[in-house]
Amino acid sequence: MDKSIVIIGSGPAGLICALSCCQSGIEPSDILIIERDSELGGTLNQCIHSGFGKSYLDEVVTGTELASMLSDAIRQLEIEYITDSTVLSVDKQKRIRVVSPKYGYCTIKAEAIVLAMGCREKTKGALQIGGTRPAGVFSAGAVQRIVNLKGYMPGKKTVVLGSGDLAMIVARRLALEGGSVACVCEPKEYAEGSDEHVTECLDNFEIPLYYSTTVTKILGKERIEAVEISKVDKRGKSIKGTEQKIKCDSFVYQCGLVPENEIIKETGIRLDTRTKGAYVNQYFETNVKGIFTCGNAVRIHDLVDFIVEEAQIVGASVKKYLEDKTAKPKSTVRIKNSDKILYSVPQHLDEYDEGIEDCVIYFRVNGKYDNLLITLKKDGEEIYSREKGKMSWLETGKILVTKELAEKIKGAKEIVICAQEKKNGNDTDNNS
Amino acid sequence: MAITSYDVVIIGAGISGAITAYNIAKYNIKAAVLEAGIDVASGSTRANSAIVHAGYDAKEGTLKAQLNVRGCALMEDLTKTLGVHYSKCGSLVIGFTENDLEHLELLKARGEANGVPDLEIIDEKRLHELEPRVSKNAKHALVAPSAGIVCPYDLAYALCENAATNGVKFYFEFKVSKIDYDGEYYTLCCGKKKVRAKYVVNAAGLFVDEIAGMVGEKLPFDIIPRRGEYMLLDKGEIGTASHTLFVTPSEKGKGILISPTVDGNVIVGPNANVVESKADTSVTEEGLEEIAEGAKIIVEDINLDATITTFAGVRATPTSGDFYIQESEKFKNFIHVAGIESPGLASAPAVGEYVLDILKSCGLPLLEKSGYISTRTKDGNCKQFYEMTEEERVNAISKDPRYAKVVCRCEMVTEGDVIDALRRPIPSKTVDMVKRRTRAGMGRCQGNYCRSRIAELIAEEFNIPLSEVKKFTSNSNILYGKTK
Ligand SMILES: Cc1cc2nc3c(=O)[nH]c(=O)nc-3n(C[C@H](O)[C@H](O)[C@H](O)COP(=O)(O)OP(=O)(O)OC[C@H]3O[C@@H](n4cnc5c(N)ncnc54)[C@H](O)[C@@H]3O)c2cc1C
Ligand SMILES: Cc1cc2nc3c(=O)[nH]c(=O)nc-3n(C[C@H](O)[C@H](O)[C@H](O)COP(=O)(O)OP(=O)(O)OC[C@H]3O[C@@H](n4cnc5c(N)ncnc54)[C@H](O)[C@@H]3O)c2cc1C
Repeated sequence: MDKSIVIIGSGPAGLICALSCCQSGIEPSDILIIERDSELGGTLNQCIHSGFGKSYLDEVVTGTELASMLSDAIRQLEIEYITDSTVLSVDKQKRIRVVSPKYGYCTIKAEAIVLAMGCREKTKGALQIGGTRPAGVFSAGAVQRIVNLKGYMPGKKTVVLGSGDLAMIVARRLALEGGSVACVCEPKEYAEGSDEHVTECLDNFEIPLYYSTTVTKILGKERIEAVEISKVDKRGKSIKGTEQKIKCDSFVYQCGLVPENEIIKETGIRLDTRTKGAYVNQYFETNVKGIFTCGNAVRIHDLVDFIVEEAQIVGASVKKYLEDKTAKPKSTVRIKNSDKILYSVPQHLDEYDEGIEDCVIYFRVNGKYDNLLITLKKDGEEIYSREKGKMSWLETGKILVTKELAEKIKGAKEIVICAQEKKNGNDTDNNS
Repeated sequence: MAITSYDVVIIGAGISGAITAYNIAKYNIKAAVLEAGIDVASGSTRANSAIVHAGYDAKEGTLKAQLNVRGCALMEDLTKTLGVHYSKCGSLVIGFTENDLEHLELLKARGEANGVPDLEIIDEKRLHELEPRVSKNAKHALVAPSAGIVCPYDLAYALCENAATNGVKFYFEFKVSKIDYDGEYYTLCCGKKKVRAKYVVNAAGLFVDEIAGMVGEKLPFDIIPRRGEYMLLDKGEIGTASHTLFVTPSEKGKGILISPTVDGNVIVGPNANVVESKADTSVTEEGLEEIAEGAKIIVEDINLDATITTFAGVRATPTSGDFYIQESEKFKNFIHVAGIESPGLASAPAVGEYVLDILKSCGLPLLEKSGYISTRTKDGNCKQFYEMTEEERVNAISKDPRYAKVVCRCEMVTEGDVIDALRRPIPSKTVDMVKRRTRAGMGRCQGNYCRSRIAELIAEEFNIPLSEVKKFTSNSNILYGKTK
């Protein structure tokens, strides 16, 4: 089977990308969306809480509402999609192997591919908690699916490890569904997720949040009976003698998300070890021409808002690519990071005949800073600077590459994004 | 109620009991296996290093040395016959000092005396060519090309499935707690449940001494439970080692090993700590640290952050140091397969032959069964979707469209594979049984995605409510009731 554009994954990234392809003039019939779940919508389907769509709809709705709005739009345009269908692999020639109830085991040849597979959760193995391996231990995402999609409870009394937004939202959901949450433990000295979530999801439900605390042991033979929690020191090691046993019948942990890029292992697509997503240029195109990527497959986003932007960029880029598949960039500018920067996306800017067009560089910092100055340097020379004030790893920072800035970047082999913490007044610390 | 009589009853469905059942199933013998757990491989066979040792560790002249070398030689054919994943990846014992080199020479001489083929000591250049990630401090290695890796529980399932296909009866959750003997028949009881047999094979692993005690016998050694803990790394780390890597043993013990697994993960462990309870398979923070430290001696930059799960198994270490496989000194036709610590897995094919010989010499008539089936089921060995060729995949889907629905994303297990596991000669009844048979839930997400779908498939197959589906035992329900 042949298809011009295949989009893998139907989360907001995949769906908005399909819609924006059409907006940019691509025929709906040239697009195929492949989704392994039985419904379109991806992670949105399990998010029955409000807080989605601000930048896309100018109103805030629940995840499920956004999913059904997007799916309706896809159906209205008659864009083809297949569900319950899993992509097994993608190769350099853009052949996609799929198993699907509709087409069986088949190969689809595409001209352009969009990787929008989202992300998966890391597992308890990464936490290395001692004790037994009874029933009743779940990841936060699994609980969200079990409760919101299947209507079952993981237990009656739960201990939660991790204070990311997902963990806090899940704790609240359990409380709302009549379960009790004994406590939320956070190994760090501060909450991983937003302060609003601490108030809305924990404080308002009188769920205690213990900082500098981790779970060191799981107890129980068949079904979990209790966990042992301990205080941790600054390096994250548990402190002997601080152990405390907390009775529970279920244990939920959140230990982070990673982009889901398993199917491109053998495609020859270069992955960034920091984001765990593909290396991309400002069009979100990977090093394999004609293969694009957006959403959580590129980097973990906290909000759909930035995914919307990326998906729209990809929609337009796909159109452009299909118009001239042989266009080659004249030069490439690598984007490097100084040490307070966690990562930045895109990882490089490609310059075509028309120069570097307006685009955005997204970045995250690796800590919580009160007064941050962001600069861009080319050969040690500052070509951009912005005061960001307060900034933490929770936020995505943006650098707008305008015509003027693009002009300055031109000709560089690499540019460096630097972050400096401004202390009282104009003193900046020494680091770049 | 009439008690069912058997010619032979095997206690324990670990690898030792499984291989015995497999061998007996070839003959016209009415046999049964009694297993305390809900599944095959409920003891040491479930959690171990999965290494098919070449046979240079055991002292010359011991039963262990003899059966290890022979078992290792038989393993390839056995696994081929039953479609069990096995790889003859070879092992390296790595030396860092001149002292270590002396020890390697000793191991080589011992191995040769035991009959291990093709042993060789290599220098650091060859070593680093073979294993580029190994520490630059490593200077020599003993190579044993006949060593391999196998999936221990899959081997036990395969043996038992074949036995069941050929008429051996399996009783699960049958924990033998009392044995009576009337001079001809042994009656084995689990509460009110009873079976009887003329011949009994005691292959109860850690509990062989207790079984012996039930007929009033004291084995000439004690069984010490020694726990070994492990970390299992994501498939992305497979480049860490292509052989099984050991360090040279020292007074401190055998050290930590790093090995690929047949499924493409990397296993790191085990330590060895005496535990109070034979059932204590918990992992400890200290234990995992011990393993991490040990692993870094071999591969300094090993990526332990890629750990997807941790687990532990308990060894049945006999104080005598050797396997003990013989007819009871007091009771006729009662055979002990005891003290089967490492390399009990590697030795299993030879243990099977050895036990069969003893049964024969006790007078058990061995008449070959007509219509014997050599594979797991009468339709051959099961193949999973991820193991199939493109053509087989197309065929499987056209026969059963459920093969087109992937349940476990990490390991590419389809609903068709799960249904097959629910209907094997020894059917899966719990989420963990499905997991060990199909690998659904064994990948990098550890079942967080597929566990609830698998629970649904089990509920549908056996027509029970979802909240009644178990993880493994009767009190391990996965979910509580409905939400509000
Ligand atoms: C608990 C929680 C709360 C959140 N709260 C908010 C909020 O309040 N506001 C907000 O804006 N954002 C929120 N988010 C973030 C937002 O929902 C996600 O970031 C967003 O859904 C990610 O979109 P995506 O399209 O990249 O990935 P996904 O939505 O995960 O979609 C990826 C899709 O690809 C499919 N797929 C993957 N691999 C394959 C394959 N091989 N073959 C076929 N299909 C495949 C998957 O099944 C999935 O459907 C929240 C997220 C979570 C988890
Ligand atoms: C940490 C560790 C690492 C190891 N590494 C290796 C290795 O790399 N290579 C190797 O060759 N070997 C290795 N071994 C050894 C190997 O795992 C064992 O030798 C082998 O699995 C023993 O098998 P078994 O059948 O004798 O005992 P088990 O597997 O323990 O089986 C005994 C069975 O009997 C059942 N049972 C017990 N009591 C009763 C009762 N009263 N009634 C009914 N049933 C009962 C149990 O439930 C169990 O299923 C290792 C062992 C451990 C623990």
